[in-house]
Amino acid sequence: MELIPGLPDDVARECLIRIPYGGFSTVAATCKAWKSELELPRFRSRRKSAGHSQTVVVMAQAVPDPSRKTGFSKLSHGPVYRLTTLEPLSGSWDELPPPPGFSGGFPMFCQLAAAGSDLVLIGGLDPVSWEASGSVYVYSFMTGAWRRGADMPGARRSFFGCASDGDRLVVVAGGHDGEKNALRSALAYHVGRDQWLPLPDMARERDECKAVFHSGKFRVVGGYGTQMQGNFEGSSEEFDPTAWRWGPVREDLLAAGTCPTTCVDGEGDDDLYMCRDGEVLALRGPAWRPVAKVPADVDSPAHVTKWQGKLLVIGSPRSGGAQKVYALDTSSAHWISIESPEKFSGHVQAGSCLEI
Amino acid sequence: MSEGAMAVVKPEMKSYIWLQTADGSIQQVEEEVAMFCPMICREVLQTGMGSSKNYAIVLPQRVNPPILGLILDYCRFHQVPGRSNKERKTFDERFIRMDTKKLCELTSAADSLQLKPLVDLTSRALARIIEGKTPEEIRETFHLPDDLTEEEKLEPLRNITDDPRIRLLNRLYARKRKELKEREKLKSVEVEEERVDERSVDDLLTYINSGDDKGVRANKSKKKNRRRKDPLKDALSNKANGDHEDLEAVPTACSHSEAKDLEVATPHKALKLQDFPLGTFSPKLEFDDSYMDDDLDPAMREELDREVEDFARRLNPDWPERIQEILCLDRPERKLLPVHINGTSSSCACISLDRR
Repeated sequence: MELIPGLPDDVARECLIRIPYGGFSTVAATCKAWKSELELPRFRSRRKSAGHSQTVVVMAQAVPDPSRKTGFSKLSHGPVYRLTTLEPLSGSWDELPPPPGFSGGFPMFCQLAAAGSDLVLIGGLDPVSWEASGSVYVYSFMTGAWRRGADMPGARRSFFGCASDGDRLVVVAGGHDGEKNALRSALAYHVGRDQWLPLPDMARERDECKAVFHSGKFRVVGGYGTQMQGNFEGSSEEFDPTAWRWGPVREDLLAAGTCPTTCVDGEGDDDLYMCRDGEVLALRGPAWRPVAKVPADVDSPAHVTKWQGKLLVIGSPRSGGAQKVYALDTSSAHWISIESPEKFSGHVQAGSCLEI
Repeated sequence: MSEGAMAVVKPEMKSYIWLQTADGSIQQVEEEVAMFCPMICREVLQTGMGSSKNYAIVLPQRVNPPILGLILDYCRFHQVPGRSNKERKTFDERFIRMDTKKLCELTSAADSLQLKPLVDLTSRALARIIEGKTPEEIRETFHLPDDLTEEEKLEPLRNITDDPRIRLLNRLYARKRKELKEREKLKSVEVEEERVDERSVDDLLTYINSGDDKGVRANKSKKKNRRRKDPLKDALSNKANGDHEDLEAVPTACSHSEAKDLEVATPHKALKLQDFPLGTFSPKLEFDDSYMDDDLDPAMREELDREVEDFARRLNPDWPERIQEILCLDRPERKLLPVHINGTSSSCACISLDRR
């Protein structure tokens, strides 16, 4: 059965790989041959190598509440979040359907990680009961559908570091349990197999740490121990998935008291980027150096994410004001502003970036 | 020579290339226009054809006279060097305005002439057409069969993230396993529940890394792919024991005969299947099996069967030994591990690993 009657299959594939990811579910529902074609790994790899893949930033973003303007909010328990997407290259925003089955609504402070063409949503607090959840939901950009993953085993943790290798592993590290004990344990979720694997413990307890994947390793930065509530320390530890062990603790990666939330993986020779004191800093080896000044519009960043060669900073002015989105080209240090329509102007709590 | 003189080309001095289409008709085309097509260019340069009516270049079947006319229009415009990108883009947009059938023919013909820019243009146009339609409309436009069941139309795409070769090997092994199960009575083996430090790490690593390879890597990766036993317990016992006990090697009395679908040059070597040291068939593994023998349609299954055979043959003339190599642990001496038929289920609890 030819993919497209009258066309050689190779040529038909050239057409299919050019279809934007939003059309995948339509393609899959057309006929058997097309569905099979889309399921093959080579479909995505061909798409990528031919330069037709799309960069998508997925975020847990608050729904703007119009009633706020009147000072009377129906949402007594706070803003409602949902998943939105931004294609930074085209500037187009969209919403993702919510994960099914989350009883009270979209989880607060969940973590997002993108592995391959899947978005993994882990944990979070039930917005009604405020209970920490260990649930895992996976959204496939190939199919436009959600599935439930295996629950995260062990202590119900929240405010943990979470990062993906961009392919199939999502590492969860630190955070705190129900008694606000900072955790040093870590685990990994294998997306394809839907299985959790234990990691060896970290050397330090790290509540509110940030996990970053760079150069084949998972680096967990900052956080604080149980006794040091809120006093962020500046050390980091690196997990090597090929050796399945943590490296030595590196002290003073960050200045004490720095919240590591804006740390993202670096580009090229740079290990990490972060935003601090109105600057984008890059870490290479032992030292940090400034890369660019953060535009005043976003000098209080809420979320930072990175894709090839670019840094996306979402934030608001320190002096207060509307949330804005800026993208930095790390090589030229040039910023572009990305417009966010009213519907997509809500606070961003978490985010991840994928190429589909 | 002045520019004016250069600009005037006397008609008699223009050279032409002679082209013959599938219907037998022959036409002459300006050289610079025809040479814009890589296929024609190559013919002229390599074989010297096309210089006269008697030596016309025979074009591929897919190029009929009207389509050739379109292609030459395209070439005539684009081969002129001075044009701006905007001009070219405008031309392209107008050029592809034609019915879908003709667009398909054009894509096909452009592909046969290796005219990549035109293939890109037309396949993008076709992708846009597909994108804008419902599955029903797509089937109608492209004459595709409505061969998906109602269920299949709604079901999400299988997110196959594995390398196709791994899947093939899995099918191979799944088949083998089935056979061995059938010959249960011939075997009476027991597996030692010994663990080796490195190996459990290996397990986890290869478990993670399975699906990584493009090619066949003669080590752990392959075997681990279907061994989703109990990585949690493995790691746990790894921590607990720290023993370095070798696994007892008990050769199995495997049948020497290969599955009927695997024809091997040297069938005298027995294929020994090795099992995970803990020797339990976890529920997930069963799932793997059924996943392999899933609801593929017969044609697909046949093709996969053929691929499996092919693949097995390609591995090595002594492929049973090679499989053994692949299956066995990555150790200096090859140890053959027995098949464990009656497994005891191990607890799956993830216990927080307390490492100081």
